[in-house]
Amino acid sequence: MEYVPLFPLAFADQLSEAVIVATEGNLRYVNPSGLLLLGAERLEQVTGKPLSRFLDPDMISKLPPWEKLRRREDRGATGAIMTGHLFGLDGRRVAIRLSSLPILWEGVPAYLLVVRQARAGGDNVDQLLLTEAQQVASSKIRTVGMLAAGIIHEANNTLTAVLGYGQLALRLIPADNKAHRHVQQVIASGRKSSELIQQILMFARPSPETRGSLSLHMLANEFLALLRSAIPSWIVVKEEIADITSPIEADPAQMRLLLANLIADAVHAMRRSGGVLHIQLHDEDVSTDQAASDDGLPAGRYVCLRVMDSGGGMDAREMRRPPDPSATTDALDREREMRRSAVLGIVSAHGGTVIVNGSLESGTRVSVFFPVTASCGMQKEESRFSASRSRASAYRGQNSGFPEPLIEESDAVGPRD
Amino acid sequence: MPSVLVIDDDDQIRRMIREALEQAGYVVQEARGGEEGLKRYRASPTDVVLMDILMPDQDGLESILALRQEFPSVRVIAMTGGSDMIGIMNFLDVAKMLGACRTIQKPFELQTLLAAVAAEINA
Repeated sequence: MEYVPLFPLAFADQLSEAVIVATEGNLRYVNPSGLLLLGAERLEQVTGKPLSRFLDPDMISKLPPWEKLRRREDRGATGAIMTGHLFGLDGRRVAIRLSSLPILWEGVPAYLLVVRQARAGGDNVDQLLLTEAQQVASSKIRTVGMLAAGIIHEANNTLTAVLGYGQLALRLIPADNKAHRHVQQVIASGRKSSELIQQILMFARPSPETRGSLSLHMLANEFLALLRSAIPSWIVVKEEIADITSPIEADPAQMRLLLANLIADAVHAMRRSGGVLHIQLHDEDVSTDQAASDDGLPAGRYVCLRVMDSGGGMDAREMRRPPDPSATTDALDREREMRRSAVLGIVSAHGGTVIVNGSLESGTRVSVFFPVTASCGMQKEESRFSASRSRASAYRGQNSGFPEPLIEESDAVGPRD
Repeated sequence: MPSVLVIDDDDQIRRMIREALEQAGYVVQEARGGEEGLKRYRASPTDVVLMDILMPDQDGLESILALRQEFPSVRVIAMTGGSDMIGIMNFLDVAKMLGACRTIQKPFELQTLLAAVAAEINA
């Protein structure tokens, strides 16, 4: 384990993050921000107290064992980043993200802990992670957005010239001339590209959160049309979207994000092996009997969005575990944790429920249930499933310029992990 | 003959629009930017001004304002291939607020362009 030999106290005293130093399981130093977080006024109130008094047992167990630290083993290992709860002297339970680093403190091996509290305070780790994931995502989207705006402007100008000159040329070429058909093809391709850009712009256009009565089947149909071009050709997409679903109370932008994240996760799972991506959307009645067996889903009518992959997706246990992007150093896995965090956050904010079935081997089925708006719950008994349509087709993968988080460029064909 | 001033910094697009308009029977003037467009309009006002929005020297929004201050009855059709937003409005929404009679998103069909110009001339 690499030790940081010196630890500048004067520097730590200035940090807005809480900084804690612990040796042999006990607190030795806490900076002013740390004292505030721990609910203490003076250093003496906390020094000498066991770290386990303040941190989740889970977090304690993720720190390198003191024995190893003492013997200075595991050279080369880096510190850990984790999320969990901190318990203050004043009885507060606070969601935190903690980074630990082995250091030498007065010649003795110690942990340096840098603790960040959820911005909104409180004790909801999911919220902390969701907020962080959203911050990272929005910063990424801003950057991609700035680049995309420039590219879109140039692409639109080029297409204007292609379509315009094409149409001018078409007038000059007799209809029975082969060149006439060729120019028609150029114009048709230009139009297709233009439509794709317009769809991307519609998706990218920022809008304030507007939660209201929403027909998810309409949104899904529109949005899936846009997503298709971003799905690799070696993944077969099968859609069963009911022609009509009951209205739910939802924000359209958040629903698009949910759909994008669920599909991105399934695509991520099958990115190398290929497989079948199955998307279903329909109304579903959950009976009292089913409710007893399903994970915390009360009886009632729901709009059910189900996304299934044919192997390698997250399993039920994984989905239930609190999301933790810091638990992995792999960039793709971290993106995946963020997506999972976003899914849980969006569904929870809309009063919905996520149920995950299946296994890594047989494929994963993620079902999201949104309660139907109360006044509309009994409107369409006969329409359930009856009007659903099924399509199975392989879509040709292409670099469509879709925002990066959906399908990473590194998702190339290759052997499975 | 009805006349149109085309203001666009993209040579290819400007010439393409000119050709389409001339084939449709319009007298066309060209300008590469907002300032040059204003000078040409002062020298010889046209029935319609086709104004690109994203231009390097004086952008289309500024140019619409300048034109409208000097010639309140000028009929401007704003066009852009840009996707940039000002708050939740895009440039074309803002162009309308500043007095453009119509807006056209690039890329467009020539028919759409010609119909918009004809509608403004007949307005």
